[in-house]
Amino acid sequence: MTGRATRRLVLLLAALGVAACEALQPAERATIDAWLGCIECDAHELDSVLALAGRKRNATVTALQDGLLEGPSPGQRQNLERQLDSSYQILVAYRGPNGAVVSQAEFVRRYRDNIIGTYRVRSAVALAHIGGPDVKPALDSAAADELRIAGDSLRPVDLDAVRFARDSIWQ
Amino acid sequence: MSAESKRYTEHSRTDGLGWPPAWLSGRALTASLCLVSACTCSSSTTSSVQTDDNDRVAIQGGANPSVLAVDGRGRTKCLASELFEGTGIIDLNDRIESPTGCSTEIVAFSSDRAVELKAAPKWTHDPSNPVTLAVKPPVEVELRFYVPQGVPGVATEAQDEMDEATALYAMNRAGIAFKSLSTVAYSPAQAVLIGNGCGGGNAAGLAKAGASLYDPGVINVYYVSQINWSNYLFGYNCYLESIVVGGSNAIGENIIFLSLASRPPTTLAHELGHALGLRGKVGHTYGVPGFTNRNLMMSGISFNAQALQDHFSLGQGYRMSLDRLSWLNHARPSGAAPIRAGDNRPCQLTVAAATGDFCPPLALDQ
Repeated sequence: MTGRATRRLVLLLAALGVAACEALQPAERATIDAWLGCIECDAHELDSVLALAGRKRNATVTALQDGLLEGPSPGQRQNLERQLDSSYQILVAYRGPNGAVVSQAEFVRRYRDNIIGTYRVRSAVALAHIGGPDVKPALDSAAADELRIAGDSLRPVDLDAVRFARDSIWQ
Repeated sequence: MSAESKRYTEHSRTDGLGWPPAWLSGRALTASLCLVSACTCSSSTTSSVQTDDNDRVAIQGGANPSVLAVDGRGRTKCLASELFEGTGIIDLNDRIESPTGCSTEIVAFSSDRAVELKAAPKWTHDPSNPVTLAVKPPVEVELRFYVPQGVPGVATEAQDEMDEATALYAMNRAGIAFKSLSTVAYSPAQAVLIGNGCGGGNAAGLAKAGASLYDPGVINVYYVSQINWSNYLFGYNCYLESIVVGGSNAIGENIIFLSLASRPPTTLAHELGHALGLRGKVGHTYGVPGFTNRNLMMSGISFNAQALQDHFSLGQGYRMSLDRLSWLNHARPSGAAPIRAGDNRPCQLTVAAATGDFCPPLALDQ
């Protein structure tokens, strides 16, 4: 092996090593998920995300950009809808055959939109707290309601929140 | 009516007796003697064997099966929160001895009745005279909803979420039902007073806002556009905030905020859990041994791991109904009597059963 080839191999291995170190481990991904799904968020969930970004900035920013521009994955959305279907069935069973209940589609839509919207807004909030020039393009895109999935859009209330986050970026 | 009872778990506290050990008592002793002498015998009676001493509990008033959590003197140790299930007369087999040296109580949980505590039951050891436990309808807790004027459907959504909460509490034998007798549609001017969260004196301000925006005798639930402007929380209970009601100091446990734009359908059930005493170390269950992602007090679950949140443990149900910290069991800030009559318990704020704690482990369940 020539000296040049050796140097290339060393550089390649170093790059792979850096990428592997930078990738989020499951526990680190769970740190982000805890923020995106917390109820009262009083256990320093956002602080933990910011601390993670201090250690693995690129991977954390990428995950949050994905969260903002794509929302939960298709599989996660299916799981969410199954849960909401079950919640609806609990309500229907409680009300009984004569109890008036909103349609299942409306019930699921109501809460699915809340959860997905909050997932995206909290991604935006975390990006704004992380700050820096690399977080701005995703926030600008979302603030213009330009998302990655065709036909996808933010609710007005979420759009306002994303714009507020974008305008609050820590420089 | 008699039913086969079923023992699920045994949580025991040693009581210092130490003798005879469990393996050398009752049927175990009989079996051992039989093996040694190669005799033929039944497990029914010998002079050294104690048979079923007829400890039974007659549940009066409940149609659905009940789970009993029983504390008392066992053969060799104190029994704590031993679980039995049945309908009508529930046979505890030969578990309970004379109640000396061990605290004894019976708690009944069922899906259509209140959680009922019988403190210091008098065990009769007489099958014709079981300990009786009358179970009453679920304790009704009144909520008052505050919804923004001009936003259609929120009052209906609040009703849905309250009924969802009642159904979930019943499913888990928590013995509590929620009702709402009034909903207030608040104006934009009142929205300013309601604010967007507990902190910064907001809860204290609400408590002083007058009858149109706060009722000290009920749990007040405010549907607002968002909570804590920049954090987009699902909901919040203000139990950490000090308030003053009628000149008396209190806490804001009966003030709940729910986010119109963020909450899932079970957030109200979760925040009501805080009002009912699930707070601090016994509040959220993330990372607490014995709880799964289905628990309603779990927060911050990964979207990959999320499951339908529909579960309270019996230990949580015990605290919500019987702990003095619960909204049910202490006088209202206005001085009115507690909602629930009868015995209650001063539970400690620890997940596991602690020395001297009357209350079972938080994760106690079937």
